[in-house]
Amino acid sequence: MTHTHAISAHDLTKTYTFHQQRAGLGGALKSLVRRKYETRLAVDRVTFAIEPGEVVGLLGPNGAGKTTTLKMLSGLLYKTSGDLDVLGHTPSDRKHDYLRRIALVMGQKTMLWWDVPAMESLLLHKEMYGLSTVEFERNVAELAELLDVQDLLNVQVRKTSLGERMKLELMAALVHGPEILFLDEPTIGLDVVAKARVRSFLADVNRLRGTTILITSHDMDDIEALCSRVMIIDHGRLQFDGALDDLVRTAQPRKLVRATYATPVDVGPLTAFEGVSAVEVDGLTVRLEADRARTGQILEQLTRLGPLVDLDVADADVEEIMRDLFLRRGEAS
Amino acid sequence: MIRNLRILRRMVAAEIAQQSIYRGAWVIFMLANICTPLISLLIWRTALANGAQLPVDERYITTYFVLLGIATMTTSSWMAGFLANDIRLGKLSSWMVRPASLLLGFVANNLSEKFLKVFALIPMLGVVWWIFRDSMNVPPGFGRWALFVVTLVLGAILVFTIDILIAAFAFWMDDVSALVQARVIIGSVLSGAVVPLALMPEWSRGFINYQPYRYTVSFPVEIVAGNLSSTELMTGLAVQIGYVVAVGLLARFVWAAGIRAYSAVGA
Amino acid sequence: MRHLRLWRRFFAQAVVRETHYRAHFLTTLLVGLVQLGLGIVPTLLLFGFTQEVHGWTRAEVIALVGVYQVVTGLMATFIGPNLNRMTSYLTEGELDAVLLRPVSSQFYLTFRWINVAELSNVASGIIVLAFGLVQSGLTPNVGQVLQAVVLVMCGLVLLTAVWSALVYSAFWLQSVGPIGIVYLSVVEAGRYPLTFFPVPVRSFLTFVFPVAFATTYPLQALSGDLGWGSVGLGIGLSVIAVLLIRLVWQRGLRTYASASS
Repeated sequence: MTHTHAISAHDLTKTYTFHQQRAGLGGALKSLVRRKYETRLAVDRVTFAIEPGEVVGLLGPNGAGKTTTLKMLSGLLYKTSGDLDVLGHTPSDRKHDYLRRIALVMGQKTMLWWDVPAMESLLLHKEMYGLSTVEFERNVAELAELLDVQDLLNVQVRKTSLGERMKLELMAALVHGPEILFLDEPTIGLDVVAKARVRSFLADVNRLRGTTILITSHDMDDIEALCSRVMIIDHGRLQFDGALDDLVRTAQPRKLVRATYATPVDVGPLTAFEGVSAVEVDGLTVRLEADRARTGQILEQLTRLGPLVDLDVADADVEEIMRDLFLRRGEAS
Repeated sequence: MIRNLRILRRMVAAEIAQQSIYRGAWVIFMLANICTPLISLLIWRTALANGAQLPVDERYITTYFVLLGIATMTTSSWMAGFLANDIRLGKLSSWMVRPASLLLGFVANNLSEKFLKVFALIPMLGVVWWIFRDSMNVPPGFGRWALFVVTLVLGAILVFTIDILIAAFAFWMDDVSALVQARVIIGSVLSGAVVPLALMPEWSRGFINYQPYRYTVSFPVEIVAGNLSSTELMTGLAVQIGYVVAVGLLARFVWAAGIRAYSAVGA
Repeated sequence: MRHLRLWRRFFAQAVVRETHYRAHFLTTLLVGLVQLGLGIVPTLLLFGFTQEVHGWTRAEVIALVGVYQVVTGLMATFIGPNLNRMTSYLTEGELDAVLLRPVSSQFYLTFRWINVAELSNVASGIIVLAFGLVQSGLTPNVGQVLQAVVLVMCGLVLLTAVWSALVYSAFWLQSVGPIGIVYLSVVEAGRYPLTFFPVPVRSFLTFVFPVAFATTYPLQALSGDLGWGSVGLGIGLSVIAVLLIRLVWQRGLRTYASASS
């Protein structure tokens, strides 16, 4: 095995066995005696390679196999078949040497201990990862400065805000200097400022330390800000693997436009205009979807309709882009 | 009343459906439930065999401890802590606006758990009974068994009302968990769940025989295990019914006062 | 030894935590004392009817209750807080966070949490033990005390192994949340000398659920009735138990990693 890739997967597959809970009292009593088992294909022959220092976004609808893939990569789940090599290791062996070189952060699950200050958690990490005092102090100082959390280290974790906690979470994950960082929805539930903060921090870590980052997110901004490359998983299959620009070009996602006027307007002319769809009027507010390539012209058109009070242009979120993408694929095949 | 019963039936069915998911848990609970009396049984039989002069014989001890598990289980109540929590956190309000009695949910929960526990317990009880079949007291005829069931039901009601009474203190106190714990510990000794009340020292007789906890667990078991004359039996039953009524009235009174205090503050 | 340093960190953290919850300490202490008193009631009643049972006097059985209190106190301090949350580790996915660490996951899950307040029960147990020993007029020499200490340690290892085996069943069966209660119920047998039980039960309490090594044998060692042979047996059994429980853990983990989602 050559170690030029940070991660390489070939025909990676995972199937689950689970039991069905039947509904109703009768059903409950029946499953009391016997349970029915079924298997489901969660990840289906996925092949890819990631180079050291890359930042890759892993996208897909809920239940598509993102988390399963992430768990196999980090060694929490055994693969059912296929080949998987991360940093020259088989992750599921969970060799201590391997675990020292990776980290996993899950947005919804805290790995910090609530009842004690974050510093206590960090000290535990120091012992767990066998860091020397010099190394530990240097890393803590560096990360604390990058994240601006010097004042938070000695506060009980339960007393910190969600955004602060995420920063501390990232700090704990990075204090042992992992080569690969797996992130599962790192910005979920954070406000705009905190999200931006987390993104710029991750970009810094990637630039300064050369850390390879694999990230799943629902937030297109996360992906746009960080990832040069995205992989899309749906129904367990790898549907797309390439540059983000290519994805946008392929998907042709529409912009969501919302215009509010001072006086009621006639939207008649709009519907005839090329690249406009799904026009909705709600009092003084007009909503529509605009073709990406023609957004400029369409906005111009909107200003001519009447006195504008407010104009808002947004990207469709990742889920929508993908739904669009998959729909089109389904039609094409 | 009829409507409440119908609601109760619905709720019990729903609870059973929900709780039967934890089938493993019920078996485990009952396994633990039968362990403690079994250990006591073995100890006291050894003492007897070793020549200890007990006021009761081996048959009494054996029957007592074999039936103890089912008696503690059917009469148990774990509501006080939850109810007190609901009171303290102000969850009561959402119940008070519903057109069903507030305690119905707790009764349903209690009944359905017992239903499932009986399922898990009976086979284990059968095995233990079979092991000790030679030294079990089996009263002839149907009468004592019927009384056993009746006094068990009364005992269950008594424990349940005591629980309501204790939980009601949450209307005035911040933390009743200590009170709940004290109730459990005192109850386990005075109800005869740790040591048969017949083995309590002579000087404590008068108190032991007439304190309420005897009528939660010990009394039903005593009916089957033997030694009670018909007079004692009738007196016991009267005392038990008396306690059920008295504690019931007291609980009702305290509860109503609590609700008034609660509504006044408007938590 | 990295794991030892890690454990020291666990302990330090537990002390920090405890200082935040002073009421918890007091409640634990009071409940422990009441339970201790309650545990002695049957013994006192029993010896109200007889002078001795199978060669054990009341004072000796009280000393035994003291040892029992020390052992259960130690278990509740260092082992209980961990094994009691095993099911939540498995069902809430908290185990994942542990598996990612470069430390033995079994070590972590057995020793991570420490309930410092329970140490008060160890203290009260020592007092009861001392009281029982004085009453019974036993004066153990240094060798006997050493035997007793080694046996108690074997008992702790064996009980931990049995309790672990019980909770690890969660890997294969769903809903074993309350299985700790089974352990707590059976361990109650340790309040009484082994000879108080019928012969088949004695074998059970020695080899299957070896609470005998935690209470009866140490007390017999203190009264000089026990040779080094039994100590050897205890050490041998402990080694086997540790090896077995490691095997069960590895098998369980294999199931977990192929089944969880």
